[in-house]
Amino acid sequence: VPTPIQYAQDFLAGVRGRLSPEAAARVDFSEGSKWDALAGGLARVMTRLEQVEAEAYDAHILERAVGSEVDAYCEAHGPVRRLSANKAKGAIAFHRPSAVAGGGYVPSGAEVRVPCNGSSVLFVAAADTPIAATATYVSVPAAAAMAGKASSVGRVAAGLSLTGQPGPLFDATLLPTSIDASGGVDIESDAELKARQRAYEQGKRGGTIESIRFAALSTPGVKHVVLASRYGVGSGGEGVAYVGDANWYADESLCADVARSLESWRAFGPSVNVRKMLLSKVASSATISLARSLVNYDQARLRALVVQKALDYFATRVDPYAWSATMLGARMSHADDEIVSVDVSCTVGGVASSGATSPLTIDGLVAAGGFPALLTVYSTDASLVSVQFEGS
Amino acid sequence: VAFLDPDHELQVLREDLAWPPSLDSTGDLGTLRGLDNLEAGVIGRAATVRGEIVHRREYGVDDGGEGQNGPTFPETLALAQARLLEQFTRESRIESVSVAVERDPDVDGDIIATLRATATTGQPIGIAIPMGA
Repeated sequence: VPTPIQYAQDFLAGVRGRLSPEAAARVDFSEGSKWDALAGGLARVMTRLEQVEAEAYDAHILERAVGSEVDAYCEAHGPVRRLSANKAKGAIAFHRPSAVAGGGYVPSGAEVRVPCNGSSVLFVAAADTPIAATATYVSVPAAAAMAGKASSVGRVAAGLSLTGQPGPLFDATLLPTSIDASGGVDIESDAELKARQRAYEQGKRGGTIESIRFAALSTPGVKHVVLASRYGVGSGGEGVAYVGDANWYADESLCADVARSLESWRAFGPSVNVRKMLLSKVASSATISLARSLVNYDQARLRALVVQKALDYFATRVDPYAWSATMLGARMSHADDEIVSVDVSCTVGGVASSGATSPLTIDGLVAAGGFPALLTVYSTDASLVSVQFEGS
Repeated sequence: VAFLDPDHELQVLREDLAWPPSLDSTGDLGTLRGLDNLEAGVIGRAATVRGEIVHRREYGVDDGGEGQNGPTFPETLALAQARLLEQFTRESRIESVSVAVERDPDVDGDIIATLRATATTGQPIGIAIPMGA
């Protein structure tokens, strides 16, 4: 498959080849020229088409694969592997008429046949299990001798029988009376394995995460969207869309609307879960030094300008989950050229804070234990911005 | 500036499609020639985020994100100036170049880059490029 660079070079060579030498000498093909940028755009499209074609080809191969071919395909296309068969596990209850026989134990390897669906399943004691001298009952851990769904016999309380004599220390008056066993599964079928492989590929497929942002914002009522992708925002991969209305709030109904809207984009993009934001208000207190004595200034006007700068700062951040007291102070200092310095202290929920960033990178998310259930975002109100002027 | 042969100027500074697209008097796509083309190319280079053109990974200004929505600190301005200068010196049709970057007095947080350069044809160029910080 050609690389984007090869596609672009082929395109430019094709255009050049159709021009006369005189024309080719004066047409601008330098880097960044319109022809060059056009070549880049086409290369991007061609690369994407190649990717789509390869995905279709792979899907066809997987569809036609049988048995070990499916395993070979999965090994070549990711971490999905066929689930092996499991033996059912459980416990067998042994009873004896009286404790007069004394102690002893049910040895590991003792075999009990359990009737089930007109046939029988053999279970084997998994560990040496002693029975107290005074006891008439013991529960023995056991597993089916053969793996498979058929070994999940559930609870059976009749017809159990010992096969052979377990050993010299076994009390022959002990009889298996009931069993409760589950967890036996067959080896994964081709159809099941294919379904899991397809789900993996669909989640992994590079898509247009920006289209997810667009689709989420297109949902009536949604005003804010933050995307977190398992492969990084800007690429594809499964992820989470945190949504909120104009007040950064989302109820179940709004989340459901967004999810429904995203479903219609599903075929073209990554799978995305929809979660809510949690709004936290930042209170700030700014102490401002001015170039001259305070009597030279209209303090009310200056105060209003500084408060507006603070509101602008929170309103224009790219990432609503991140803020910085330093940046806030710097923005306030732009309110007027007479401002010499701004000293800002902030609190969130009454606790002093200098800012916050949220780990929306894959490394940060993994370190933090995955996508947060609620994304904390920050805003402020005019009433939460306090401004004092230093000096006399 | 010494007399400049128009053919020589076209050979060196070349001709490209106009952007945004326009039509010429014959109804064909409009083009920019010579010095106009070089000036448009320089502006395009400053306006392109590095990596945007898939096969030109080094073309365009690395936005870095340091100044994103932030104040135009002197350090941010110096960084922008260095990145622009690095890009303009990559332009083979420019003989010499200097860049000055300052805060945009009209748009809070934006900057204006002023380019002064000499084309390889000897023609001077002076352009003010408004940019987001």
